[in-house]
Amino acid sequence: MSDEETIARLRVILGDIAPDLDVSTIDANADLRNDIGLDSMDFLNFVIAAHKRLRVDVPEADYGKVDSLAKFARYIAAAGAPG
Amino acid sequence: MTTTYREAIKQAIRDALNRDERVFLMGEDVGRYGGCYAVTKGLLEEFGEARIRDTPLSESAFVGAGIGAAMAGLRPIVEIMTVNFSLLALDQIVNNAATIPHMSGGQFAVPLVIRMATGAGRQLAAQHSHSLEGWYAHIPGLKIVAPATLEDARGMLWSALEDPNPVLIFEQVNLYNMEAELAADAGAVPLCGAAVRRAGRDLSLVTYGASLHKSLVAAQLLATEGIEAEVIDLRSLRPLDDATIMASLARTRRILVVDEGWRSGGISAEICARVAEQGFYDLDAPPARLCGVEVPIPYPKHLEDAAIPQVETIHAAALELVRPSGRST
Amino acid sequence: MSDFLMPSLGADMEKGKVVEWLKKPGDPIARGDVVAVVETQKGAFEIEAFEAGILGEILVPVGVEAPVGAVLARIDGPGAAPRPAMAAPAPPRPAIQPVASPPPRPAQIATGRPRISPAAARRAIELGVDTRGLSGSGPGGAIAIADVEAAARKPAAPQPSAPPTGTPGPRRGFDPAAMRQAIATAMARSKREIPHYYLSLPIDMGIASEWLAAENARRDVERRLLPAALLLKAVALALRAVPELNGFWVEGAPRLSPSIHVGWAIALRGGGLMAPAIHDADRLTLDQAMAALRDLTTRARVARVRGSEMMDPTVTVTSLGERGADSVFGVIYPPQLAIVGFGAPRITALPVGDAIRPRPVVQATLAADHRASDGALGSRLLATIDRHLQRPESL
Repeated sequence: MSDEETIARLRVILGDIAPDLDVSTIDANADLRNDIGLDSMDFLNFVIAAHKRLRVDVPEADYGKVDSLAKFARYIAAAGAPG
Repeated sequence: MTTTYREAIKQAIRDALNRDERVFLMGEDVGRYGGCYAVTKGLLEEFGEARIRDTPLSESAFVGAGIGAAMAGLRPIVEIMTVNFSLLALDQIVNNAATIPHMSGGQFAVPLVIRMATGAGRQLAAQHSHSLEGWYAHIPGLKIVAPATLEDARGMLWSALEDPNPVLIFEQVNLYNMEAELAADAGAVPLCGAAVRRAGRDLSLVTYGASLHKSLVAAQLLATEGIEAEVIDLRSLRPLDDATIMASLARTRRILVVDEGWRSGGISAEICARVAEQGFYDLDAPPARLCGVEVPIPYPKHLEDAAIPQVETIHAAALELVRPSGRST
Repeated sequence: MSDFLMPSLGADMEKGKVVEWLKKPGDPIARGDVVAVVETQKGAFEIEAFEAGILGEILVPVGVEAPVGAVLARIDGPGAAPRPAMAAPAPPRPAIQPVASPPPRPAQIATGRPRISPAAARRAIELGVDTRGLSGSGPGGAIAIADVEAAARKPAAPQPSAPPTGTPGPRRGFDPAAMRQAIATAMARSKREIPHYYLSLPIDMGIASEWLAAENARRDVERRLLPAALLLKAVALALRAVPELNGFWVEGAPRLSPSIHVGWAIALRGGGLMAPAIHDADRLTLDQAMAALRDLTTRARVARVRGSEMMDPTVTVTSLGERGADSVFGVIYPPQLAIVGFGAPRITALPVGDAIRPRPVVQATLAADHRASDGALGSRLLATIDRHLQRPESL
């Protein structure tokens, strides 16, 4: 799965946990916390949903490596998670 | 059994005479003539001159005698030919009968009953046809009742005799010939408390006496047009049963008072004032009155009819209240 | 039979609009069932039934505003026969000419005021109907009950249908401008009426952070805890020890609450915020507190907060989360007595024993109503919160 595909899937997941966001227009490089406005609960929910749907485990210590859609996609690719 | 309003009153008088030897009847032409509306016909033969007493043509004298008799322990029934003539006894009724229980500090009761005919409709012209019961309802110390049914005509007299206060019974002249069923064992009815004679949801027709029956017919007409009128028979004009009126208003939110008496300062004015005071927030339309036209009651039939509420005018006034003309819903 | 009322979802709420009926007349209702959704300036809230029964007549249809306390619907007692929602319409009026001329109408006085019957005016308030512009069918063209009820049956405006899950769309019943106005009203009232005093205390979160990191490392991702859960629990427990700050200022005196319902401030991305209650927060385990926070945050995002949650917070906590400003001195939400704030953690040089160490520090703050309490008491609350956060394992 390409990073583009992963980002697209992450957008859908993000839309589910934050239905008040227009996820289709979010810049893939925007900081999810500072720019998009996810709070710690939203972010944790996002990580949980990604874990369920993309089978990727992000330890708390790695949160800084997944704080944008693009970084999250690269993290998933590096982790070799099955698509 | 089917009988008349007149006969119901006669039965009530006969029953009272039989029941209590302190009861006697007096008035103009009540004995030998049998009463000008023939209510007391035959009672003289049955009970004798001591208890059925023809009086001179002096209302002040025989009403005063009645007050004295009542104070002395008897139970007089005084008949005055019409309410118009009662004005000759106004001093006795208002200054004496109504005040003595109060001015004597309760030492003297005045258990006097005065019956009189009232109202228009028999072409007796202005000096015999007025409806002044609303006037009397102004006077504290009196009780004012207006039986409109045979049951009330039969039952109110005994309750009035039992009451320690002077009670005035107003009999609308058109009711005497009214026929209806009356139970053979019909007895006393309480003097106070209005009666809902017909239930409805769209407006309340509040009335008494002969206008009750016109209002009931008007209510039937209205029902054919999908308007359900509630018809309330006041029965007593003093005291007024505010609770029944306000409860009805809360259901229907519109009120039309039908009253043969004149509009200005009449009993209907009092009722509308109480509705405004107590039921203001329930009103969905201004309280309305249909009253006698403010003229001396005319003699000619068509003018007499036009001077007092009739089925057609009650119907029209009710319709105007529920579905204002030109604004049909 | 009981009445289902427009609830007060805060001291500043005057009216609300029914935007959805989730039950229809005749439906059985259990206590706590969500019966309707009501939109206020603060957004849409689900309103629950407080009594079981059968939903009877719906008196306020969708799209209609009603004041706080207005009867929205009847709830008949359990087992009661369902009642029809509306009375049968009256039969059409046959064309009948009055035989006699109508009686004289009362004199019409041109006052310039709208003519409305007293009963219709009262009904309009009950139904939240704006009577301006209504045409009257009553005597003299006055607005009568029937006109008001007819206006109430007409929906004010079509509601946008709820977007399907997962697709972006406007949040149901969320109007940022209206919420701004609601916040403005409440906060202006607070600053006008409540003499605030402010305290702050830096709290070393080192022990709590380490405990949390270790705890989360051995937990599945679904069961991870956020610092917010620790803060929530620490505040709730501290209020048990300092109950004078938990409750309301009512009619010139503090009315303390035996229960601790923490209003948790949630910032909404469209602007604005709400602080719905986490009920009996002092009795929740950390996992339960976490679940409650997640549930509330998620529902706040989609405007699915319940009316009861808006009604009964006894104190408010506002936490800026892990990013942002150092400290927040809150404005008390009237008529509550206090608001506790937590800034973002900062690595700060702190003396630990004889050495200076970098420690994660959170500024805990308190804004409290000086009419109800004094600084010494407020100090005790912050100190107690600190003490609880030094023993996270016992939270």
